[in-house]
Amino acid sequence: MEEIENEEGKIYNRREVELPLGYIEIFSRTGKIKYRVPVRQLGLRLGRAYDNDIILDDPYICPHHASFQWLNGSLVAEDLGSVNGIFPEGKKQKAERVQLASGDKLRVGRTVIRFCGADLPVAKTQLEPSALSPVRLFEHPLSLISIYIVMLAYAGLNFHLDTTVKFDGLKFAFGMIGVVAIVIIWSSVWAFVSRLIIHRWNFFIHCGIASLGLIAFSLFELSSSYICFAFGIDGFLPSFGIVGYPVLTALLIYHQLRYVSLASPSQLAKASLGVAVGVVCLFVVISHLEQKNFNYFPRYSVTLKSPKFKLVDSEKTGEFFALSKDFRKRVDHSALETK
Amino acid sequence: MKVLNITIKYLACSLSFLSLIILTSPANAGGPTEDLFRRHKGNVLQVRILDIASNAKAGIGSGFAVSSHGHIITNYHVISELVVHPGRYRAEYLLENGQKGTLQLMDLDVIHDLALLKAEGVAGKFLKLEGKEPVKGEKLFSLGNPFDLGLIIVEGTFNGFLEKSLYKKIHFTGSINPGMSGGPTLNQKGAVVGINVATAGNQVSFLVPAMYAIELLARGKKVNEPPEDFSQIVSRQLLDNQDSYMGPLLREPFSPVSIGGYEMPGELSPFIKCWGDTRKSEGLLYDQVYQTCSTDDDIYLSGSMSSGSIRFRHELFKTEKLGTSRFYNFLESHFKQPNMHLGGDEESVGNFQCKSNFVVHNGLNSKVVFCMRGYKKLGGLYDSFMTATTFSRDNEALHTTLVLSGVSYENAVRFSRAYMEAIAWKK
Repeated sequence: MEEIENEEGKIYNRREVELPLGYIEIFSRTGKIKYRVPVRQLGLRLGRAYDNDIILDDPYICPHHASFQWLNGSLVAEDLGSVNGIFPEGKKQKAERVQLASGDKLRVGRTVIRFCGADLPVAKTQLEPSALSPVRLFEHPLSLISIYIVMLAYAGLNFHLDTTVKFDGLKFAFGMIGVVAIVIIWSSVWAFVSRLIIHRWNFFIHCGIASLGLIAFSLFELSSSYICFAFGIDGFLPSFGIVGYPVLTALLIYHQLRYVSLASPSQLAKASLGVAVGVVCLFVVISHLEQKNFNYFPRYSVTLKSPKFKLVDSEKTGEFFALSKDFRKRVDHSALETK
Repeated sequence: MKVLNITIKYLACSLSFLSLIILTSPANAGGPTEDLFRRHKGNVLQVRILDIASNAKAGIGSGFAVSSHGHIITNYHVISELVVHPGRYRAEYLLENGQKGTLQLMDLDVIHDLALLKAEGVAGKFLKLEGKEPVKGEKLFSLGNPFDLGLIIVEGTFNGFLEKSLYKKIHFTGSINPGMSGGPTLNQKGAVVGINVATAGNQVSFLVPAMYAIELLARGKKVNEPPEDFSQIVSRQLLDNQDSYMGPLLREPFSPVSIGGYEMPGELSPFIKCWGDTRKSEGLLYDQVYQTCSTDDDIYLSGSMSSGSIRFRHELFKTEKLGTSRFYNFLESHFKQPNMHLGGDEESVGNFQCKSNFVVHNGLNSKVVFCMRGYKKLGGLYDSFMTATTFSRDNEALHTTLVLSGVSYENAVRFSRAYMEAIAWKK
């Protein structure tokens, strides 16, 4: 234990003199810690009046509402005859005195407070992302610029692949403006939320994440289409989408949340996963409704690529048209629905 | 071909064309026409379909007496609501003298768009059905109630039968109009030679030959208790009919037509007609040759549904300027969009169910999508949709689509298979 000597030469234990016995944490309505007040041997008084140690602007709290005393190694909260009283966490009955162990909560008016003893363990230290982590990549101007350039080049290539007419500069410009506008609009929303929560815009970082997300979505679509063609499994294309798009959405949101909130990566991952599950549910509900609703046109998934990408054998016409009993059952069942 | 059934909502706008109709109708020749009208107007009646809940007119047409027991012939499409929604509609007639009464559906011939009804309170005088074919150029007189404007007579000419039609019809050169559907067309002796059914405008009109009405009457006279639900009768007639034209088509291999080195099904029968063109333009980086083939006519089932047709479309795409990736990208997006639809609604058909795979035929590799849907009330009937693209070559591909409506499951599969087997590369 570290010891210090005062001017008169008396030796004190540093912990006894300087360090508080613990902290009282004041929570906001949203459950975040607004501020902490150190607890020392002398005790504290809480209320709305300005002669208190802890001043709270809660209209349900009296000018002198409660006091905190350090008795026999624990903190005791005492009601000072307030109108609304004090409540131990989870209790609906007022209490005159409440003994607070480290980590215990107390409700005063509409405010929740918590006593944290000096020995209360804290969460494990998070490792800072390394320079090679994608999270850091978004922070380097050079890597950000590279992402923008790749995104624009990719969008241009896609535009080129999608056209079957001679190059038209105006159409090309409009196509590119469209892509850039999507990235900007999406990133502006995130930047605005960033500004509200962590007081930084991070606009260009959000643009970088959105650009990479756009490329990822497009590459996923392309690769799943090629896989389905190669193995002749076009029917699985919607299933690829149902799994792939929510995963990509979760990754995109996870990375954007990292620049919006200071919450831990595990909390962010949980939030992103929640969004992904929501997206999966939405996909499933929509595809179920589409199946149920009457469609004038047949709905089918189909891929067509150059023959060199085909990895499976073709069926003979006789084999293809030897339709399974299950196919007929599906057709007949569909006609029976809503009969 | 435009079917002449008319609903109330069309009446308001049709009145504005009144002057045009009068102008385009042949001038009244006087003597025989006047005489025919006077003698037979009492046998022609207006058929009204009424919504039971609101008692309002849901559709009108014409009809005429064909027996002394009150049997009435009209078009199926005039009274189709009685079949499609039994219990929701009722039928009544209105004679030229203002007499009204109820009509009961006795039998029908959905293939030739005819229905036999029995009119309460109509007995005695009736029109004779003439089974003998008129002579080309013979004067005919069509009676009916156009646009709910009252009974009229229209003079015209017999111009033979439609030669390239799956469903035999008389080509009548005369102006028949909506609301005249189901009315009789008489020869100069006053016998019915045809029943008004459709128009293509400009005095090109079509009649159902009287011989089908003779057959229907003979059959219908034996009916004492008509069924409440005619769906089974309609589906039986449609199934027999599709067998009658699918059977001969499937007996022989399809005679092919050649486009740009490819062979594919063309005018498989006189009743299938093909039209084609080439699409080439300065800015376009590919050439497109297409041919669309279809049966000339189909069978009216309800306002949103017709049946009994064969339609197919071939599109040959060639390119020297698009690279392989761009070309296949284009083909894939073209393939994804079904370019032929079959109509229908939730009440009458289920959703399409599809399968797809690579298929090799005559040395060509294709990606084929085959889809089918079943009819809900007309059991045993199906629509099929097949679309395929060949991808054996890097700078050209044949995209083809086949649509069959109102066929049996087996015929849909057999015809689609024969169709794919007729596609070949011959160069």
